[in-house]
Amino acid sequence: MQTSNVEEQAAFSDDELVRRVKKGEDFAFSLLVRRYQNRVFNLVHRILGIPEETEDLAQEVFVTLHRSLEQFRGDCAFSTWLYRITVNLCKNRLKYLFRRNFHKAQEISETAETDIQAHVSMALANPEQQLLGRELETLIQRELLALDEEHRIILVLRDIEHLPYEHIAEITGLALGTVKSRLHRARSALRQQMQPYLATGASIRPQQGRRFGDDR
Amino acid sequence: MTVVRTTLPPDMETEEMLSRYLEEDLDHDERAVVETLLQERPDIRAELESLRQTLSLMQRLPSLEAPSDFVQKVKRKVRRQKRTRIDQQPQFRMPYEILGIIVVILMLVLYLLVQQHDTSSSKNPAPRSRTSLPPRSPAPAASRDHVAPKTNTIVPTSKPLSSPSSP
Repeated sequence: MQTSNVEEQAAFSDDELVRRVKKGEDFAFSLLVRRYQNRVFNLVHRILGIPEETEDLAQEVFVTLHRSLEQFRGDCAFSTWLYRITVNLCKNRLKYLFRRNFHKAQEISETAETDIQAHVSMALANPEQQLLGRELETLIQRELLALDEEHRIILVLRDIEHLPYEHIAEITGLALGTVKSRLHRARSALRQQMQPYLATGASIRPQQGRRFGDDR
Repeated sequence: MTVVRTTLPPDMETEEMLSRYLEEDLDHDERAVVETLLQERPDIRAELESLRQTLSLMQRLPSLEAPSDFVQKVKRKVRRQKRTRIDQQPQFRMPYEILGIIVVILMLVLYLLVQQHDTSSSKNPAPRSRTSLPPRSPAPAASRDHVAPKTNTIVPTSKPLSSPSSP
């Protein structure tokens, strides 16, 4: 049975799909992947910050999910469990890349800092202009990557993925209070890093979604 | 008359307070402190504004979409991994299988050896004790004449045979 349209995806809850995948129904796994692929993609990309690694790791997340789904007992929401797998694999990959000194070779595209500053200031001062885009994303991504891993993960889960604190605590295995204090510290650090590029009273145009790999 | 504190709690830094202020995660007193500070201190106002901008920038980051063939790629990887696991299984079982075969062969060899030993011992029985007679060997022709064959020998009795009917 092959289903791919939105209505049929919505017809099944996560739990129902998980149950069907466990029974070996292939289409249910396809639906689960389709439902979560973009969220996993974004999470991986924001935590890892390396486009060349993003797709591979996102695939690995779902392969791991398929392999270990039998162990999922439904103690937490399926999405929380999937995010936990994603975060753990990201951490492992970061360790692996760090050991291989990947961070030295893989610098984010080196637009001159003054150019970035000029672009962002212009965007902030004039929201009607179609600027921002890649430069701003590059800038924030770079400053995100400058944070240490633990702070970055919490910042991404909360301020980009908009997850509730309780879910973040479950995903990271941290106490609720620790999650909150780390988040505030991470925000503070990021604000200080972004300070040179910010102008008071600014607003920014939201970016349209784009398909991964467009910039490769 | 309510007294409003104008200083932050000692365990909380301004930045953390501002972050929680934006999240509306402060109690009434803490909120009052922050609002007083914001009225009185332009530097804290600027700090709050830059924090707000930073969060706004993050929330407006473009969301990426997975490639259109992502599901197919994942399923291919899943299939490949399943195959790999199946291929790897014999490698892990091999030593046990070999061990099993070796044990069976050893048992077979042992059995054959025992069988062979039994057969040879029944063909060549072990020498008996000294009290028993030595194995019979063919007698020389000269001595054979002196010895009457047992089967034809009639042993004379000391008494004549009498029948029960005789007086």
